[in-house]
Amino acid sequence: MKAGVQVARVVLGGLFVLAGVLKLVEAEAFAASVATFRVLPRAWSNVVALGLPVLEVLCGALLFAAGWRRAAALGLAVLSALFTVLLVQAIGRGLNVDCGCFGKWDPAAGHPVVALARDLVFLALAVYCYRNFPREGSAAESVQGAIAREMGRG
Amino acid sequence: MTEGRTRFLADAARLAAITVAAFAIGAGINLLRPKPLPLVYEPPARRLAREAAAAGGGELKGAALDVRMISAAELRGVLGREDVAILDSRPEVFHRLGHIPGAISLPWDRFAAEYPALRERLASGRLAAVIVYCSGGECEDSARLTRLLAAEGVGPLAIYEGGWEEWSALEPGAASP
Repeated sequence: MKAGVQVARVVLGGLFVLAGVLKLVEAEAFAASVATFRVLPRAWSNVVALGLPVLEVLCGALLFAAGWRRAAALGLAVLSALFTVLLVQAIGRGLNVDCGCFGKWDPAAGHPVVALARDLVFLALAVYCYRNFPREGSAAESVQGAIAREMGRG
Repeated sequence: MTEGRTRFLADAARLAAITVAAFAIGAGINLLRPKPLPLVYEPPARRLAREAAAAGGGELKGAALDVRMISAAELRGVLGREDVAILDSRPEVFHRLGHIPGAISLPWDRFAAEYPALRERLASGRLAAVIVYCSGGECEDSARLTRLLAAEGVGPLAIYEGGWEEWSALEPGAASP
């Protein structure tokens, strides 16, 4: 695996695991953040606040699990794209939103444009990882690949 | 179907499984919380008022608490009254940008530093109401400040849930010092 992909997944995975844990700690506040976006019915905000942080933690951690890393990168790309769209619509509607991305420890709190730029970086990293992770093939395919690489060297 | 598309669908199926697992784990973690979140969301101020009512207006976490929600019309009716205090719980910078007429800035996270200067008036026992507001329906600052005030024996407490967002929409140009 390329060194760039290794670095990207460490950065991306680490940040999403951290973000998920911080949101879990402050689930009540995150539910209020979800409600401020006014995209989903307000009543669903707690369910989203309970599930989404765990999804971030799982996707962040599974970037390091063979067999799951492409799905995890896809998940982080989808999440980053979703957060980007939510922030754009909130800024466009003039809503006073706090993305709640890193709970009360978020350095971009109160600066939705900074949070938006950060989400675009996350999206780029996730897409880069997804496109450059080795395919999640079967064991036979892995062996064939190893043989092909050896033959290539010879 | 191309190989790339097949791989993408396989990845999407794995992601769906991860998502289902995440929400199941999230529900499980919630059950382990000292105070689990209800599945249906309730704005912070309204939840505080409900908890206070459930406690019979008596005690909540050791502090006397009696808080009710008020509407914009009720708030308008008490503007300018000497025996009513209106507190803006948002960060001070937002207060400077605009606030409900007569409101005093008391950010909840500056409570320890700024409450002492207001104690004489707020805890005098002569006020008919102490009304707290923040940005709008989902903001938590009102509920946080209300809890702190209740712990100091300030009351009777009320929260204007519509907050600055509703007020500034109903009263354009009403922001004044």
